[in-house]
Amino acid sequence: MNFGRTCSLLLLLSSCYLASPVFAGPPTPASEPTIKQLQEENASLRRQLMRLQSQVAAQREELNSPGASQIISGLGYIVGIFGLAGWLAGRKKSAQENS
Amino acid sequence: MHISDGVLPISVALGSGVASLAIAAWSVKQTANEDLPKVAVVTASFFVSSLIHVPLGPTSVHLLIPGLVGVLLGPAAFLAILLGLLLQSLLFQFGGLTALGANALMMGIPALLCGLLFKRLRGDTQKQHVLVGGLAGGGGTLLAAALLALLLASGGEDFFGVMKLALLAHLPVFVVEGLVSAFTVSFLFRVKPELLAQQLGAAS
Repeated sequence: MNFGRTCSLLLLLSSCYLASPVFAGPPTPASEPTIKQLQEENASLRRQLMRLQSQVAAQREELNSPGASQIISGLGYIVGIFGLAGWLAGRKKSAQENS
Repeated sequence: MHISDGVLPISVALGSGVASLAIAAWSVKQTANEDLPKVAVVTASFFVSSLIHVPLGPTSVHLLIPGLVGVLLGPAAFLAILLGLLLQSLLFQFGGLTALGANALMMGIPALLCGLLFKRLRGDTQKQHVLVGGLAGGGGTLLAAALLALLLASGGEDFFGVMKLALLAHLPVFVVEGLVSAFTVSFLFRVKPELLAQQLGAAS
């Protein structure tokens, strides 16, 4: 039983191998359309690659440009710094008025 | 239009850092307490305006508004620009910390000059206000581009080559900034003309 299963598995594998493009055999006139197919595939792959590259470039640009959190934190810093300065100045002024 | 880290020679970077600190100290002294909210608002506008991009062919340049900051703040403009640039370099990675002094000089000096120009020439009519405001807005960026070329020339770059490039790249920015400044001044003249007096506290 076991032997038979191994044999059938081997048979299956070898048939897969023979059907695979690796074992295409020697180049014959019949292989010309496959070259054309390959070229077409190549062209479509190249198009996809170009699309991906442009997407990567766009993504990189997006990463470089600051997001909302940076903008808001910057505005918060500005408000905070000037608020602190105003508070200190006001405190000094009221201290002068009290004395 | 920011100078990045490591472009300038160390002596120039250090010298401009010291000079900008000195001008900033003078600017702080000139700022009255009553003006602080106004300075804060203009600083925030300056900080954010660099994110407004003007598309230009394959690249884009962004607004700088040194002229408008000078028109609105007068002597306090340098403080606003130094703080805005510091936050931009920390949060947006625009320019570098070692080049902060050079960047502050590049934008701050045109701002101070434009503020002075506006103060002297603004006159009384809205027309003259708008004209001088627009001129100061565009001229501020023009001066900043010239200073950029001067600073880069100290790093061994060809002055006129850089100048030509900086001027050409920012040609639309001059126009846009002139328009933005003219519009802002005209709006403020109609709505709240006392804001154009540059120093609120000094008058009282």
